[in-house]
Amino acid sequence: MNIVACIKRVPATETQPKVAADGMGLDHSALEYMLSFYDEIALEEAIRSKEAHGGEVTALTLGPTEASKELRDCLARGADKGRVSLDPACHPREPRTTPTPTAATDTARGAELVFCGRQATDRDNAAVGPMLATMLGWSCVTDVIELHIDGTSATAKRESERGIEHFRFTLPAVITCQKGLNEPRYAGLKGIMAAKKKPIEEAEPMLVESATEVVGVSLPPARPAGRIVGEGPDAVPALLEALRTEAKVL
Amino acid sequence: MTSTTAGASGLVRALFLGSAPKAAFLPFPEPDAETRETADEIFAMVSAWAAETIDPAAIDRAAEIPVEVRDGLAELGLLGLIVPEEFGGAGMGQFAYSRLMEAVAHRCASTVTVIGGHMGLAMKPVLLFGTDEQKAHWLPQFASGERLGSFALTEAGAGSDAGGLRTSAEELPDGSWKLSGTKVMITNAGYAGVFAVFARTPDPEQPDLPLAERPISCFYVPAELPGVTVAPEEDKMGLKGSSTCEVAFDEVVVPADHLIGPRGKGFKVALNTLNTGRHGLAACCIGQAKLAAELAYKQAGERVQFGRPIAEFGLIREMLAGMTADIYAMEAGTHLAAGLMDRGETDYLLESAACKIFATERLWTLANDSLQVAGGWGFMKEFPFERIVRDARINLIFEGTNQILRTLMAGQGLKPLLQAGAPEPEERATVADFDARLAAVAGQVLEQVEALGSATAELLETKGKGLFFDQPAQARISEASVALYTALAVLSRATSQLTELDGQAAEARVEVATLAARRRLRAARASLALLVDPDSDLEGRIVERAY
Ligand SMILES: Cc1cc2nc3c(=O)[nH]c(=O)nc-3n(C[C@H](O)[C@H](O)[C@H](O)COP(=O)(O)OP(=O)(O)OC[C@H]3O[C@@H](n4cnc5c(N)ncnc54)[C@H](O)[C@@H]3O)c2cc1C
Repeated sequence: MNIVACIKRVPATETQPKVAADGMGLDHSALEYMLSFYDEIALEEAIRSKEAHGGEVTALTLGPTEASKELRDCLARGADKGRVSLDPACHPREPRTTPTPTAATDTARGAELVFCGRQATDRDNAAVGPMLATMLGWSCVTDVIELHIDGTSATAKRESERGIEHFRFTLPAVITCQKGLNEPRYAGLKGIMAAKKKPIEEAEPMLVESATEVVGVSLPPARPAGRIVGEGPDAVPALLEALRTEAKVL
Repeated sequence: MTSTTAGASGLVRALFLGSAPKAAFLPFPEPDAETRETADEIFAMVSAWAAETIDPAAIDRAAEIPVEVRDGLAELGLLGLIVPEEFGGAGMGQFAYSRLMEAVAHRCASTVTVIGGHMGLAMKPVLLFGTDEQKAHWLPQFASGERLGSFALTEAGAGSDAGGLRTSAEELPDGSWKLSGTKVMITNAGYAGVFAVFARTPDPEQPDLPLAERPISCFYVPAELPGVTVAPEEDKMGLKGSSTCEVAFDEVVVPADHLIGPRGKGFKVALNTLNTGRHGLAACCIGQAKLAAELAYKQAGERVQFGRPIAEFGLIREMLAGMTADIYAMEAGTHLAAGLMDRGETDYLLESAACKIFATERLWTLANDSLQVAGGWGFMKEFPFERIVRDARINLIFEGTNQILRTLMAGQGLKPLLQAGAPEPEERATVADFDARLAAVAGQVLEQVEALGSATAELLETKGKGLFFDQPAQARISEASVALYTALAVLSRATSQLTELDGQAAEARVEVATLAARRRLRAARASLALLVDPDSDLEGRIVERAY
């Protein structure tokens, strides 16, 4: 089975972003990067699917050449090869600009299963998975928390605000992965050493122009400092009073 | 003025003679790109794992490392980092090992001790001295964590004077050994699968030698052999999660092929082991120092007194800046020695000792400063400051106390001065070898290197062989050599790094390196100023009267 994990290099969630001098984006020089949280789950599910059913896992990303660092991490955890579709200007991006070139790759087209994170932790659009499935004309289940594959058919549980939905569908399919689907593994030393011998390809995709334009970026207003009204049960009346009169939330 | 050669004789040895040979530390021996990348990947992976898996406060409270944590170290393959690939390891060198130790130590000092006892100490005898068969037998078990190793040298009567050990091994007719004795304060003992035990063996040439004079040999003693008894855990000040026990060996029959290294050369095996182990300990100190500094910076930025963050007060700034600079210096010294080891230098005894002395003592004062920044809250067990202080204390004692290391350095460093016909001078580093922005401080450091050479020579002239009995003077020469070794490492490292930095990043690096070098310069000057201690006779008489 050809399995693809779509992954994204995103700014590390612990780093405090700064707005660039021109006010049109973030100051990228001050950022550290990581593999997006939900993409780790997608990669883990891809590797587990391979371990259970055989085949090959390709970690695929659209991004700058530096994203090979995150791909190397995917290879260390068990993916067989990595591919960067080069998009040096990947930052001012609308949802469509990612799935369009991705759907055009042989890697995606030749797969039976494509895993994506439910959303990337930088932009939170939660759009790439479903759009990719639409462009490929495949089944799609989003926010998956349980997946069973049986030959060319599969069942999945999807978590939504109203409850759990149970799906049956046939492959090929795009799955977007939600927290709880699995516990991503650590690469381990053997994985890191093995990754050195695995290939990472770079490709020049057919990029699409963004139809929207970023005209400004600003940080949310700073929150005022908290105030400790007291400690223990004795503080409850004062707290209630403050919530009623100061914060006006009660 | 005497001179020496670098390379074979090493940087610190040359410093005692007043020269800083260029080839010994310039350019900075950076690992190649692939090694660096792999070490970074391991560092990132281990840091993420440790942050999620290890709860250092809980380990300290329970005085126990959960079995999942120990198993995790094995499952991630970390216990075989330095084992050659053919024996199931990753075949990495001392640089990668240092980074691993730093990553784990940054999270938990107790946990890193497991790795240090196993890979830094217990595994070394077979790695350095084992036959191919012995390597094939032991290394895969060590690498997989199937057997955790424990290094058993110290005895109740033989601590610093490890050569005074009394554990004995008698040869049996079938070639196996009957080993008896008791080792104390043994790391990893509670869960070790094998002990590297040092014991006295009869000398075939002189079979009648009394026990105390017999040569020492090293044995791997599997923990399950009859006669091996591990006592309950010691109750310690710090490193509470690590296992430290007395281990008794009562007529344990050890197979002949468990003797590791040449028979009768066990002391050499032990010293060589400690030589690299010590360097790994310096790397641990970097991790804990970074943790303490991060906590101090955070606290200083958040704590408001007199209407502003305490980070704005000069006395707090002095402590914080000192942490940043000295962590840079610890890294420079430790990575320089790692680079020398990885490029195949065999004489790094003094460099390794210098790294251990500086890193352990600086971590101790740094942890104390970090607690001071936290004020009364730092004293409370609710916060990590006091644990870091407790955990840091042992580093000045084990793997050679810092007193022993200082006298060892002086003894080794002074040796060539007593020998006639000093070797030809090697090309010396000059100010022009360093980044121009560091020229001023580099000039002062090089001047101080010469001052150390002159001071040493003068001292030898006035005291002669008496210097070998003047420990305070020895310690001060050693101290100056430690400070200057570290300063040179800082300047070399920064010079290399500055070729890849520009703008604000370069400016920041120049400033940190300058402060780091100046602080070592201060330490070197202070040591040399007290070389002839006017109070030493006084000190002698005071103690003499009182004990
Ligand atoms: C937590 C912990 C873990 C340990 N793990 C291990 C282990 O895994 N394996 C192992 O073999 N050992 C281990 N040890 C033992 C450790 O190596 C010894 O404690 C150390 O070598 C010092 O020996 P000692 O405690 O007997 O002190 P002593 O040798 O009695 O020293 C006492 C003091 O006298 C000073 N002193 C001694 N001789 C001289 C001298 N000639 N000149 C000047 N000063 C001197 C020392 O510096 C020290 O300050 C461990 C100890 C601890 C506390």
